[in-house]
Amino acid sequence: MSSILESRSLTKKFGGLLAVNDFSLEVPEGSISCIIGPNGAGKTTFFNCVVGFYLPEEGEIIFNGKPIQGMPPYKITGLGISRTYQNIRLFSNMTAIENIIVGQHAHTKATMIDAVLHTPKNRKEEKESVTEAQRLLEFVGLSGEGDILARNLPYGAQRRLEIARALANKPKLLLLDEPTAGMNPYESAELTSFIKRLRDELGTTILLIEHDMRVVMKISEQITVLDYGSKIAEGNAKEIQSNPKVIEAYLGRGAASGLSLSRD
Amino acid sequence: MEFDFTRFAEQLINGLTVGSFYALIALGYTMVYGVLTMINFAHGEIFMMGAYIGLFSLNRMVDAGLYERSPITAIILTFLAGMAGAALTGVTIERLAYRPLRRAARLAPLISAIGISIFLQEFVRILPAMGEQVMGLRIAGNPIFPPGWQEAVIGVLEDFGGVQVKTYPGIFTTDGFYLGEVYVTYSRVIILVISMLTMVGLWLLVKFSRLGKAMRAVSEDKDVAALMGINVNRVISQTFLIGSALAGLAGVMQGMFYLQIRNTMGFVPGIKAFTAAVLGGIGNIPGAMLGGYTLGLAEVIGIQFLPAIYKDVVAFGLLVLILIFKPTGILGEALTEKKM
Amino acid sequence: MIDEANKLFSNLTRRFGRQTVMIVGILLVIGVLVLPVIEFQRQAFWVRVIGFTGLYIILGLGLNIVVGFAGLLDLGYVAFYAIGAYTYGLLASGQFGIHLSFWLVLPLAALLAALAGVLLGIPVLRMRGDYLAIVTLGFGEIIRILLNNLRGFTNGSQGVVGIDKPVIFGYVLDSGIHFYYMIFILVAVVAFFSNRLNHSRIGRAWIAIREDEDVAEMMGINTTLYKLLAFGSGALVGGLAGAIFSAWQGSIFPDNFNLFVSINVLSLIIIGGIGSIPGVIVGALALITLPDVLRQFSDYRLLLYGLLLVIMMIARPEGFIPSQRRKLELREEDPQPVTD
Repeated sequence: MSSILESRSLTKKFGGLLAVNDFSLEVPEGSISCIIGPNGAGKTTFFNCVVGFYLPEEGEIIFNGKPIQGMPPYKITGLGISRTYQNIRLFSNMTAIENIIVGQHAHTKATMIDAVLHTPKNRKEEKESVTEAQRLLEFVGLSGEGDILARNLPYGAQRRLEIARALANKPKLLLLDEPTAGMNPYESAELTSFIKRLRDELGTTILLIEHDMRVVMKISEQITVLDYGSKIAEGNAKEIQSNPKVIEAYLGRGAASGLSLSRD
Repeated sequence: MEFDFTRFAEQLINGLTVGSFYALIALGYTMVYGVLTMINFAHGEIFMMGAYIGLFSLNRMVDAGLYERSPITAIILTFLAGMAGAALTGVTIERLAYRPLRRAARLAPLISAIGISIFLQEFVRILPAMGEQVMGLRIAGNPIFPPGWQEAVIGVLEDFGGVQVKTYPGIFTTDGFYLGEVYVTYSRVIILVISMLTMVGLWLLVKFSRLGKAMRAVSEDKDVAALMGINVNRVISQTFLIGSALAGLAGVMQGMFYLQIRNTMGFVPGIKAFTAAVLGGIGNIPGAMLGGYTLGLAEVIGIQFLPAIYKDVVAFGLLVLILIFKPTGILGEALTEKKM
Repeated sequence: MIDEANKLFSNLTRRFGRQTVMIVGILLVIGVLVLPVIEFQRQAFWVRVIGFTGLYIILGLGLNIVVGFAGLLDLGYVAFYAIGAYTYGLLASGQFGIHLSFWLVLPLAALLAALAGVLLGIPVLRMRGDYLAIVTLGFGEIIRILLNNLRGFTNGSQGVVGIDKPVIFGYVLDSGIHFYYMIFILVAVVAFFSNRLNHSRIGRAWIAIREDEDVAEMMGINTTLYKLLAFGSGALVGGLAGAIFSAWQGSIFPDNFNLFVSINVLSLIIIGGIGSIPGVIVGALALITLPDVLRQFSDYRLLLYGLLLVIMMIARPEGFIPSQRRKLELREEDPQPVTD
């Protein structure tokens, strides 16, 4: 399997703090991969580097064989990377379906002239946008709720809407930042199978940050562990679970040998 | 053009004087921005109120003969009255027009502040006319207020506000001394000394008092500060009180040294002082002082090269440049995007 | 008869959306009800009042693109109005002895204003919220100061006088009623286009930027380009209004373009309901027409205006007619706007 995303010795600093330190990662195309690590390990910072929100000081990010670091976020999105946020960030005063239609921005072309004059081209595009958005609403189970303002949707629906909005960009790579945060076990199990379905039905490569180990172990084909910005382990669920470094990072120095359970 | 050192030095002192006004007003912007992340658009009008209330009190003391007997006491009382009046105005505005909007969208407090700014300017302007109308009210053809009252009330209101420019009595003369070849008036020295002493006092207060600590806590995070047992509303009120009192001080000084005051006098110094606050790094108290003096000097240097009418253009131009190249200001720490 | 009217109405709403139909309806009702009165009585007063309201509606619709759709707080909008006005004033008067046709200069004025909008937009792109407000305010003031002081070019505070009246097929449009119609038509055109933009790919991109700029960029929106597009479009509309103002009045002065125009336009948008096109119309009626009609309270006009801003922000911050999004998923016979 070839890799769709590759990070080569990526380093991102904030002042003196090494948020991401010499981090290398390969995400196989069509896989569900996961990045785990304690709070503040640099996972979201890595996401922000990939989508172009942060400019890394060193290293390279290769997407689909092309280096993308230094490109503005809107161009990177146009190449086929979408993301969701840890704390849901929808356009709250737009309707659900409009959120999805905005997500299609990179694939639509109407100019100001088209919009003002309602050219046939524009009308066709609008119609297709709405149809496609309706399809996505159905796909995430929000049929019939498209005309509700995003901020008035219940929490779980907002999570799914955010994924639908990300999918509207027809991404080759989908970055999910703690998709099950704030969900009860039932909801999170449901979302887990939904993520699996995403990959199986759409063939989208998925890279997620997740804290819920049940979710991580259940769906990830590749798990990467970050601690203090550096990669400390990589492998499948089984390998990670038995890796002493990982246990140490999560439970504290000495925990692996059963001496202490606290991390200070 | 030959470089004229004496003229340049005079301009420098001029710049420092003007800078003192900017700095005093800028402190109010910066302190309010610090605790509320809002621009108190009406701050220039608080400065104006200080000047009017100061003049009104000074006139009372002249009437009562206190000014004749002890001019120093009268002047100090004028300052205190102007500061107290401005402080009261500021605290009232916060309570009535800003506090209800604390959780509202960002635009709401700004619009509310614009409303207050217009209201105060107009209030001062039409107060006498309003008084006349109220005093002239009749029930069934009979005046409600006895004629003696009418005259007294209208007289007082006319003494306070009105359409025309008001003039402070000339307290300070052009007396001064030579510093080398440069003539420095005593009045300028007084402005500089009063402003600087006040600012040092404020800096010490914020740095070392409980209130200063509470202010810093509130500006970091209101909710957490409240959890720590800080009375957030009181801290915000006190911030308005101090910031407004400083603007009131500047207002009275403006009246005493430039003599003429009017209801629209707050606008330009208000904008300039805001520029100064941004220049120094908004939310940063020493920054506001530094920014005030920098702006004052930049203006006098600017008009060495440009016609004097472009003084305001210099200030606005500087503001735009600063915001483009160093939006955090001279002393400002990196603002998070949320704060911007 | 009533059945047919109903059918026509539902056909129209399906075709254009309810908001557009309502806007056009409101405009027609005002025009039809008020016009006969004017025609009958030939009262210059009404032509003037409604004409000015119309101009402010146009300005409001233009600024609404910048503030309401894209969320960029612009307090210097008057600058574009001034650029439009002076473009026509200088190119069609005795000032330079140039007398170009109104119909040629109108698009030119719009383009120049749009260009100025984009040029102002470039340096302030990275600024947010209050900072943007103050810098744009400074920009508006700089333009006014320049108009006042570039005497050789703009004739300074004496203004540009004797501006040509537009001529159409040899017929000179020189009475108030001609401009009344011209403004009326432009209001309808701008409202119509603005409504189309609002519900297009462009409008949605603007609103996305307003809601969350970072996420908008992550949707593939080139936020820099779209912000400049918003500044440019808004300024273009301001330029159009300015050119008409200048042709209508026949003379223009720098003081026609003071900060208060910007504040008026911003306030009417916010009072009406930010981002809402019918809101702009209601806001203009409340803030421009009403004060003009209530002449007997003219003393208190601004005082009440200031108070109204504060009270509105506290009592109804979303405005009289809050903006609504159109239903797209389930289009019924009569598409309803989304309600909370």
